[in-house]
Amino acid sequence: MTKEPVELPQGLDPAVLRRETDPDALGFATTAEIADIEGLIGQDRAVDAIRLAASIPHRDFNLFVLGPVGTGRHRAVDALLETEATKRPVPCDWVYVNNFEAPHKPQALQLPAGSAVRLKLSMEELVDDLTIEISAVFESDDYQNRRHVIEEEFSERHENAFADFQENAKARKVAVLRTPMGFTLVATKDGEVLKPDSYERLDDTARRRIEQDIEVLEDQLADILRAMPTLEKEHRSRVGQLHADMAEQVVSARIATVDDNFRAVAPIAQYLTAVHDDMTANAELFLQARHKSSESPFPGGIVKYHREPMFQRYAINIMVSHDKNLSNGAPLEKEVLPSLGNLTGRIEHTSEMGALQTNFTLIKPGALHRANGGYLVLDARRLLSEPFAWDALKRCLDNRAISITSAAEFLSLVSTTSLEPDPIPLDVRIILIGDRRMYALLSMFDPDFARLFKVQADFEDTVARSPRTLKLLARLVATSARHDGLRPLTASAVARLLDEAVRMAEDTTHYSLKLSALSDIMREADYYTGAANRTNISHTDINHAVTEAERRAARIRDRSHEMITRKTILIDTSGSVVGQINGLSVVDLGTNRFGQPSRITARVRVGAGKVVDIEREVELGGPLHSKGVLILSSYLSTHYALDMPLSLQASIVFEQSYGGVDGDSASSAELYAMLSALSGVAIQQGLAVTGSVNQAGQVQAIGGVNEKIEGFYRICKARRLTGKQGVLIPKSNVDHLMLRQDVVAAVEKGKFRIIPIETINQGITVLTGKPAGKRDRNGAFPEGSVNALVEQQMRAFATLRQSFGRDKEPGRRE
Amino acid sequence: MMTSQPETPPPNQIIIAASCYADATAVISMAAMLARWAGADLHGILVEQNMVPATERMFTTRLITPAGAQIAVPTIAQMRRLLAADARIFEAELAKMASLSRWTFERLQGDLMARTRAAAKPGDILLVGHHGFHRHLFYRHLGSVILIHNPGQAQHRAFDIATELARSQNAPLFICAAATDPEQRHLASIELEAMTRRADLPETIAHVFGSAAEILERINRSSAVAVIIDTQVGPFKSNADMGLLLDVARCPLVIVSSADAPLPNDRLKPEPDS
Repeated sequence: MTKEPVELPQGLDPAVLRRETDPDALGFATTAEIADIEGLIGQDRAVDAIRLAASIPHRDFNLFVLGPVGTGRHRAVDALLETEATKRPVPCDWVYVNNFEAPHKPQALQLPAGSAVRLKLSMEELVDDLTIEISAVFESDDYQNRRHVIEEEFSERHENAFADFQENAKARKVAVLRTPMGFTLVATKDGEVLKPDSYERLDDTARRRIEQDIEVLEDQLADILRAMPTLEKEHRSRVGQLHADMAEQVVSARIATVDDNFRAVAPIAQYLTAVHDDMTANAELFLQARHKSSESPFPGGIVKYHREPMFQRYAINIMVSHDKNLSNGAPLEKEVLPSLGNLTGRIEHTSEMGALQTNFTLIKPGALHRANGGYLVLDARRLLSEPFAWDALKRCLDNRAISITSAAEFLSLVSTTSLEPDPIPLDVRIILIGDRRMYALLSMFDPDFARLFKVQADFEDTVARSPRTLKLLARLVATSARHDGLRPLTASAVARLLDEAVRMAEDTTHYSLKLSALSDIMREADYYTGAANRTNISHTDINHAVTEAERRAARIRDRSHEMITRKTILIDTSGSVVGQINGLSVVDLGTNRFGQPSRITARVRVGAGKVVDIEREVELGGPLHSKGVLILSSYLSTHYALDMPLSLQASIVFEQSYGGVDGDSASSAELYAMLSALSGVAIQQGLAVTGSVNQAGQVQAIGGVNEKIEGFYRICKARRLTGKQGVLIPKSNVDHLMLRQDVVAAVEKGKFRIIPIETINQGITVLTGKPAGKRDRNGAFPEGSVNALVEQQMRAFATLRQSFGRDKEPGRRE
Repeated sequence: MMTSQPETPPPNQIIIAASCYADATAVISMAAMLARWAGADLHGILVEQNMVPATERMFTTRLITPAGAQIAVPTIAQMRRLLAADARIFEAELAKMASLSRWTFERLQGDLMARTRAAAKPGDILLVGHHGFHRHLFYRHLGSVILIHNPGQAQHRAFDIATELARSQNAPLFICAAATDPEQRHLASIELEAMTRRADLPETIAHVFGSAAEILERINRSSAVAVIIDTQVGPFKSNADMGLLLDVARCPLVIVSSADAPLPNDRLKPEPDS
């Protein structure tokens, strides 16, 4: 075994640390020279899904569009659906009309596209015209004559009844006297009421005759009076029939003209039949309206009688109407506030005399009505945030009909009878746009979701980097710039922008497809270009925009780094320490993330084989972090002193960390610290480590590798680069490197190094300068190697533990 | 104000007479209109006809209500209370309708027509109320104002009252006369034709009957708003005639006397053609 320290590897070539785009490969000087591109790049899977959902006629193939924000989901959906919508027919119109037999159940009528407005205007005109015409009919000589005939007939019957009675009474010499309570009959003589004494002087026969006559006449008079109400009822009936006949003539004639305008539309014909019957039965409404207008002090003009509340019963409530001359295919609707009422419609109420009133004219349409026959785009998060909206949408899709329900009815809070309008048949394709987590939650926990939303359009985060995609992305950048009214970009600016796209992808073989982020950089760069009075956006402007955006969001990063450089937070960047290592973590603040080192320490002693994760013990460690610690514990127990029980007590901690730790990207660093503590070999503090480890000791890829390296670099640079500083990263992360130019420049100058690691043995060798050591045929590690020292220590712990147990009193076991 | 014996009635007053409040309601508004038109005072008379002694003798045991029910005749005491109530209501209504006119009221007993005509002074216009047997609604406005004319006799006041009533009630005016021989009928027709023209109403009908009995027969079978007659010119003059006329008309009877002084607001009209 060599006793010479192992030389620190040089690390990765600067060329692989930042694979920049060559501006010359773009083939243009500025984006002004290149054509626009339609659609997106690298989203074929999602685009095909959108096209399928847009065109497939079968039900329940609604679409969920998922993917990261900024990848052009909304734009793609809009563009594709707009195209598909033009291929679909213009849907029919829907209106609500009064149900004359059951006003609380308004009827829905399906009408040919564009005819709802015409029908509404026709009905208004009908009411206006009939108000004048019906009044004229009842003022006409024809009506007056016919009415007069009826009156004369009944008058004659009325008078004749009493006239006959009078004559009969006169013939029997009986007079009728009127009293406050009614009529009484008395005998007369010579035209005068028979006096009592004269009556007494009559013989019995005469008295009996008088009494009989009076009794007969009393019965006759009573019969006549009792028959009067029946006569009056008959009179009313005849007059009512006359009114109905007169009105019916006028109504039939006018409705026929309306019917002619909507010939062969069966729903309208049926409705007009009901209107005809109602208007005929309620002709007095038109007379009242006319009378009311004639009493108005204002000069007569064109009166809109249809606006009178009494004629609301004949109104047409248009829910949705499509003018074929203006509409180009099926509707494409978006609802930005998908509340229950905005989605399914609502029934409004008015307050009259302290009570809530409603009628069919107060039914208001929702987004489903407007989108019926076409497409409705909704934001998934907003939809699920609105009470009852998601349930209502599913119900409508299941029933294939739009039913209007209020939130209060959902909760059974109201018992007042409201309207029960006919449900309108629903034929719509719903497009929900949301993130992947939302999609996963709905898929897992809502059994209806998978049934109703059979298509998902999964937007890619990135696209493979190739000469072809390079050119396409350049065109996309050019299109976006023109769309946003920006100045043209130079080729170097485009290249610089695409380098940012690579960095955002965290993969040097891919470009990020978060186009909105690239657009933000372009727009800020355009501002700097304008401020400098230049005509084209250059790479300097792009650089400026990127650095300025970082700087604006870097307050916390800078304060954190200041605490380190001022040694408020203890981080060593030189020397070597046993059982201590610089781990690396990423702090993600949403709009910005940065890397920073953390001191990880490990301590060991004899014990019962437990590795204590202090972060976990105090509930600052998340499950992924705990998993990493358990894995390294397993590594120790399966790689060293296999013929002995694990007899160490170890503790690992992130020093000065009070905010919680999760993820296993520091598990290799923790293991190195543990090995250092066990072997007593010091770790160089000028190196930082990131990478997770598996039970086999392989170092695995982690995320945020660029930010972690740059975070440690800044600390080292602030304290002066020694040339012996750097970061150990998993080898599998090499393809993810897109470091800032200053780090690359430092590596080029040999001031910093990025060292790829595949195994723990490799890593411990680099960190300690001492070979890790590999078991020989006899199973022994080379003497003096790190592994040998680790195993030696673990055996010592086991032996010590064993002897400790033997020294106890006989029979006493631990 | 109610008195058993009226003070000297003022000249040109409108007398409203009825045997019960129900009959009075048929003429009160008409009387108020005529009072305003003529500038006359109003005098109300409630005549308690001789029915009380008659019912007391069990002459008849039943009373027919306006609805056709047959009920027991009220006791004397009950009847007196009812009549007293009718008088109060009659007087109150008279006060309300009189508005700007002066008004008086009295209760009398006896025969309606006799007592009423005895209470009238020269120049008074007498309105005898009659509600009819049944308050019919359907031809409230269809009845005519009937003017009974005696051919060859001038009756300006009756004619003016008749035309004013017809105009105010928006009712046709029916002028009837009786003439027995053809020549008289011819002259009567010419007279009635002239009266028709003079009336200047939307609808005026005139007819010459063969006898007074035919007039009564026609009135008996007609619907009328009111019947106007001048007792000075006839053909009906006596109290018995008036009673009979009231019974067959079954509507208010307006009795005027052409020998009296003209009303202050009488229009000066030419003599009817004869």
